[in-house]
Amino acid sequence: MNRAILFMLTVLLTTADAGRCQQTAAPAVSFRVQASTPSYGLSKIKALIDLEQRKTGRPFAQSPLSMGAFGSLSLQEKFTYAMIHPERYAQNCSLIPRQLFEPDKVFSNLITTFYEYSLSDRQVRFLKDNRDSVMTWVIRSVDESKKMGVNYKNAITIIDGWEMIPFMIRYYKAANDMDILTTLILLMKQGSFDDFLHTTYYEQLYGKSSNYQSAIHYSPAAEQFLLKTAMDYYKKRSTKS
Amino acid sequence: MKTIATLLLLIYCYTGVYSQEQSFIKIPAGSYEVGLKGSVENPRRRITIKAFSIAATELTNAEFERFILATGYQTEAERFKDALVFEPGLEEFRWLDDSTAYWRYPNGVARGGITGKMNHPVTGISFTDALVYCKWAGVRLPTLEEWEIAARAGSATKYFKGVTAESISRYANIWQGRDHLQADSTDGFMYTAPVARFQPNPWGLYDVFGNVFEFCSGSLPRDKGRRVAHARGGSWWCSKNACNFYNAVDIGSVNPHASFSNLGFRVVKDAEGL
Repeated sequence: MNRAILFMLTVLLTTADAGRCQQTAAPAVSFRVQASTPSYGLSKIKALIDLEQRKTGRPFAQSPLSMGAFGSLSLQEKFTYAMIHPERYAQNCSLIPRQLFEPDKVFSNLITTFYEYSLSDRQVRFLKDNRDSVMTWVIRSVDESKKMGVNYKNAITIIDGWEMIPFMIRYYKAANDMDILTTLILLMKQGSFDDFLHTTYYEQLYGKSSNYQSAIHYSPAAEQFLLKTAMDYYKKRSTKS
Repeated sequence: MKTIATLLLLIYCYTGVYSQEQSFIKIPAGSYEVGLKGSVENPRRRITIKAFSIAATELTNAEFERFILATGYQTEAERFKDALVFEPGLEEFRWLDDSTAYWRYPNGVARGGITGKMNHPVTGISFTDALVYCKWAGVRLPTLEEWEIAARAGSATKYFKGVTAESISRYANIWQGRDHLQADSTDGFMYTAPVARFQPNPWGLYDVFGNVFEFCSGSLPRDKGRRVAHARGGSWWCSKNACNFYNAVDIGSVNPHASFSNLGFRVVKDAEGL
């Protein structure tokens, strides 16, 4: 009798696990790869990029705007440009491989934003030099579209946008976008926040045996801890400033 | 007289090394297992291929120079001044633009050229350049699967037999530092190493892991219509903590016009062409 029950349980668990494999091995969650497109000046910038590509005759190659064209853009247009047209080639291994069971994981790093491209030095400098405006534009765009693309999250980490933590947590609760947890983690890591640095989560994500693909398993407890610690980090930074 | 004889011997040895024809390893036609269980992008499967022969080593600067001298070809980095270079101190995955960089100066003029490194793999070239070379030399790039079959040499794991994540540095010129903020020459080389300096795989291929990423032909579902080049095997830049692509499973993606100082190639001949 016991053996029969054990057999039934085994069959049930095996079937459940197989179902889970089929379900979660499917193309991964979209928030990891989707980019946001700012609307401000979009058609003008697309036209400029198109012109640049026609001038060089290399439609699939890197085609940064000339110094003059880039300089003529307004600040907000430069933001749109940086979010849709990374100027530099990314190296061969920048594209982090997709993993099984992505919805069950909180990753140590965001997936490369722009496939075979990355932001150039002048684009990174622009974002950092205009961090307050960048945060405003990101919030406005996310409020409009209800989506925070991986390019926005990447921009937040580049500018060390810790002031956005409460906004990101609100967005996380509404959108269930787990890469927000990754973005919060990256901000705490950048800020060397002790309450996070001395945890097993940190060790698993960024410790000695970690790599760019490391992840922790999602659990409600981990989620609660990360959200609370991120808020603590925000409060600490707010007090300081 | 003795001095002249010694000098002549040295010149003979020098030219002998650099003019040496590449040796090729024949891979028989058959059914091979590729991919790895649990890999989303390269799942385990069995495939059938025709016989081919693959170079035992990555293509060297000396071999690429012969092509340049014969054809006068100018690489994309020379024409468009858009090569990317590395120096220690950069954040992970960051590279520098250097308009002086091309295959003779893979990390830019300021960081030295290939003098004395003619037996190192050619780098600072794009996928497009590699295709032009192949056409001239009557060879081709390996397909993604051919490369993997040759690299694994019959192993069912992500490395060839005898290699583990811990022992890989005996077989591969890789970055052993925790990050790229400090230079790392633990294995004697910060950038490329001479080809065949490290131990080969069981089928006699050198540097399949590390040294330079090797361009392959073929595409992946994740390309989604973008024009993408793929290179495999990791490079001197790759570390345990950042890009640990020095294995037979992971496949990189790069713009076909991009020139990096960790991108190179090895060539293949169809068996009937031998």
